[in-house]
Amino acid sequence: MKTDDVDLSIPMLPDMELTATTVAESLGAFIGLEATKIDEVKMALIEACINAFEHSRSHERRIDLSFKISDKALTITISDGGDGFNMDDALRRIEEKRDKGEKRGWGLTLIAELMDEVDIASSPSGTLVKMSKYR
Amino acid sequence: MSTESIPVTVNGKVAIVTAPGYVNEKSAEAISEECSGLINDGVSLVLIDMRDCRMVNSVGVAIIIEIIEVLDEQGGSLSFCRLSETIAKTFQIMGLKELAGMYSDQEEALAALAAA
Repeated sequence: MKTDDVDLSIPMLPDMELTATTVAESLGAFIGLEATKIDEVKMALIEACINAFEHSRSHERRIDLSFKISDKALTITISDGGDGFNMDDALRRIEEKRDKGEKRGWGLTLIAELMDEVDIASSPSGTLVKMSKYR
Repeated sequence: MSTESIPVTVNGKVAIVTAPGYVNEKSAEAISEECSGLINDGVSLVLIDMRDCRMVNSVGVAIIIEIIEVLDEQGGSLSFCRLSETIAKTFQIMGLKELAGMYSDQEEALAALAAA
């Protein structure tokens, strides 16, 4: 771990996602991200956390977050230690929900729209969301 | 039943609901309960003032969309004012801009609702 990275582990409890947004806000300000960009990071981070809370089926009921800063970006990695999921199946279910007029299932779309770069890797040992916001 | 307190004032035909700092499932349920009570009392125009709200999540917004649909069935409407730039963007992504009025402040919203 670089000396200026921050690692955080939070329990899957109500509103714990706000703990993660506090760290993102501090680090975003430290590297000079505009306030609006920091807000977008916080909103995307909330969605990533609540997706993990609701869908990961993690036995530990915790998520691990890693915050990395550079001259170019704030990068956050969220790891849930859950069962993982198939992205194609998830996207199909989201589409079906939208077709039925259901209101939920916007988390992945919001993360993709609010961040500059998003990479999601999922396996039976958990899901890892890596997302960056550029300065 | 939600225990969160949501401030509500009435200005003419419009009920003004002040959103809390974080609109998540719990606080959106509280807003929904307030709006259900208002609808039962015959109110059909609701304005949610977002001045104190800095963050929302998609679960909370989904509940707000359900309120919009109930008001629409009653011939009413739901509007928002004083949205932060990021919340406005989130609403746009989730399609709320087609479902609800968006105003810069209460005065603009109340004038538009009075004229409607």
